[in-house]
Amino acid sequence: MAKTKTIKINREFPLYLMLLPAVILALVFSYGPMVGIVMAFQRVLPGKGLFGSPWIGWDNFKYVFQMPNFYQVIWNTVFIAGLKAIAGVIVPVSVALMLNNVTSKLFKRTVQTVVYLPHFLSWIILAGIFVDILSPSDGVVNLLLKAVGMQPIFFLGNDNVFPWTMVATDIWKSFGFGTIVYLAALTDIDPTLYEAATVDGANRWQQTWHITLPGIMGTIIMLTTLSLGNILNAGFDQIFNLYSPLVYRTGDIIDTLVYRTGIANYQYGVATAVGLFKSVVSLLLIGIAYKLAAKFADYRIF
Amino acid sequence: MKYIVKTCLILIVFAGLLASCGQPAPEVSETTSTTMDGFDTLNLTVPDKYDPPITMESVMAVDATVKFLGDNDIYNNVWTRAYSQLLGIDMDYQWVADGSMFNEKLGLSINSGQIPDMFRVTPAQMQLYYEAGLLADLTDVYEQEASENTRDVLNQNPTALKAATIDGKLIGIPLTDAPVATASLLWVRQDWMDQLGIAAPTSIADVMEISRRFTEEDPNGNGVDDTIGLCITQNLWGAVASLQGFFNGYHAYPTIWYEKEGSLVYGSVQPEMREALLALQKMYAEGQIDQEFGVKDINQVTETIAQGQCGMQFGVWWNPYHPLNLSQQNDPTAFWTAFPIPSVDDQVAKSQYTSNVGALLVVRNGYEHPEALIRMVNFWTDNILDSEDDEIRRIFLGDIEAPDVVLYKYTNVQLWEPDATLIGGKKLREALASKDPSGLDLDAQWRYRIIQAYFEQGILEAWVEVATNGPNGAVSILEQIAVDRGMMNQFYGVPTPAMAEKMPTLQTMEDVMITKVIMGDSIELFDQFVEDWYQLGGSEIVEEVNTWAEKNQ
Repeated sequence: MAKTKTIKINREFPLYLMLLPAVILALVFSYGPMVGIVMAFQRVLPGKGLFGSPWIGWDNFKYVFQMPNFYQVIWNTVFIAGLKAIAGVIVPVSVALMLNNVTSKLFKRTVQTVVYLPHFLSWIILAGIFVDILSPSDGVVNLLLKAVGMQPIFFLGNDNVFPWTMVATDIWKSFGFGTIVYLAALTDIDPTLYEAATVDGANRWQQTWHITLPGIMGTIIMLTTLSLGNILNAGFDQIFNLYSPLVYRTGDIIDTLVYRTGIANYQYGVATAVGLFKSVVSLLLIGIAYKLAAKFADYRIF
Repeated sequence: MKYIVKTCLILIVFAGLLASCGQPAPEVSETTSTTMDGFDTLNLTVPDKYDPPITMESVMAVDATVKFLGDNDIYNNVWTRAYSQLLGIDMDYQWVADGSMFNEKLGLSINSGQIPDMFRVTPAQMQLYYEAGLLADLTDVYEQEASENTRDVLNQNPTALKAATIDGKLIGIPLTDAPVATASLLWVRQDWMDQLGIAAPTSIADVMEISRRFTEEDPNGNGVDDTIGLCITQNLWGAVASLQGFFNGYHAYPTIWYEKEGSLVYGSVQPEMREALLALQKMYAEGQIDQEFGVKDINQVTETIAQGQCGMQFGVWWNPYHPLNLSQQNDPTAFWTAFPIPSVDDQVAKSQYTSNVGALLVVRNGYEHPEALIRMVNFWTDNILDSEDDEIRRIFLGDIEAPDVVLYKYTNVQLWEPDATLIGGKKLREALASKDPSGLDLDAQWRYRIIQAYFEQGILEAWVEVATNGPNGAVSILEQIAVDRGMMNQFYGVPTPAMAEKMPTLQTMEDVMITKVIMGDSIELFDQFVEDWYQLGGSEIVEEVNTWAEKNQ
């Protein structure tokens, strides 16, 4: 018994070794900083270190929940992140299905690669580009709208349009990645099912509806439920680089609020309180999402 | 799938290669020999030298405009060598950050317990760190060590030392500058005015007319409807393309405190704002203001100016040096002229300015040598400031043959005489009038030559100097503002508690309100804003400011 155990450990040792860097990184960059959570319960005095400032209980949280725009900010965050999550399923799945029906391999691979490329660009660069192409007076998008006789739209300055602009540009940037995941899932579907369907006289549309979609449904449900944990992450990089006072009403999200109060105005305690609030809600949502994923898609980690 | 993975890998490797190519190998900088600077040949007044030398940990803001000679860098340059060799103070810069990130970085650094021995702060930071007990009391060392010249410079602006004092203790050394230098002037494309035959603006009505004609009559002559009358940025305030000058024309003074009916009031919530907002709204509706100004920051407005699409803007006196000089990129004949803020009625319009000290130098509580800061200040005021010695100016400030290398930017300790710009400008204008540059210092002689080059040889680029220091230039207008055309911000203390906590939110509310009203929302937003402002902490701030005023007047 003892011998087999030693052999097992010997055999698995290299695997544990390979795990080590990731564990260290997680400890240093994810678990270590958690000590800073104490700041949420302190009146943070600069230079006093983590435990030198006076404890004030829940005062920071009370302050946060009394901020006049806090509920609006939460709603903005959920709204933008929720739309991103929904569109983040529909768009890649549709594109993957369409590509799956393309017979030219060259075309398929070219499209895959091209739609994947924006994934590698940073929002700093993209923000500059989007300000240009979305400009209501001489941006490409609005020139097209004008050409077909529509009124130009101030995508980045109109607070009714801004959240939708954020969703659309984010999807444009990231749907290539999702597409590749779904394409990979599609390869798992047994080709004999299609042959059988063809023999039965099913057309392309019927095949997609009755074979392809059910075949990848597990992956879709899994990715969707898991994205629930991100419902309070509306995309700091993107919004911080594209928003302006004009669209604070609908565009200000939790992370930008934390940045402005915490980093720019030195209210570290308040910012930590907001951040902690966000983390707790996210943790609950991830828990729920995991249960849902286990129930509907039989996806389990533990 | 494999194919894609391969492609991605290749892309990633390629990107990595590119990145590593872009980075030059780190160079080992050699210590420059002491004789190179030639300090020993200079006639310098040097305070007592520390022996053995002391170390002073500090931090530094360095932006893209800072350039170095030879293999010098921020850790080894004429200033670090002077402090080390002449004062016995070895500067140890813990970190160096870009100017725009400096305050945030300092905040994070101090909060995590890394407190430099000497550093630069904003008044709000000074208050914060003083309350936390981090800053040394400089009252005694200032009394003992400050030289005549230092005292003189710091007392020229009567509010400067008050702004650096908390609870009767001197906490910081204010980095002084001319208060009126923050006042807005009206800058207009003179070549466009000439071309369209427009006379100099003397009232707000003229401004409106110029704005309309600049917008509609294609002054840049490219046949495209791309010009705008008045340039503003999304930030609304600031040194370039700001709105404060426009409001001043309507006797409104946003963002500052001034006296009205016996007490201090906040300008942004006064009824005078209303009419100016309506005027801006009308200009926007008629296309005289960039339809997208709400999303355009200073860089994008600078671009508009460079492309010759901007006809007018409210900004400070040094705007011709940057960014107005860029207008010549597309149109070599472009030049701008400054005008005093025109008025909406028969009362003279006053330019608002703030004498608030923008930055102070402070010393860490517990640092063994707080007097070292005073000695560094003395070194500056006794030797550099006002120096008639061209060799000293060349070595410590910069060589006029290499105007882009500004040497004093390497030190945190730079104080300017509040009136230097005005006095220098006046001397220069007198010399121009009498055509006799002999009494001028080297720097002024250089400016004199440039202005002469414009008038006598028609060197177009020289308009920059003409527009600032020339006859009727911007500096001559500043002089009027200093005498009787100015409105000073009368709150110059450290931010009050409610101000520190609530002003950022209130300021955001104000900016949103102004932007929206200009873009066509109902003026009722302004009334709503005034009501909210008082409710969300404004009343408290007004009270605190007036309590402060009673104590300080």
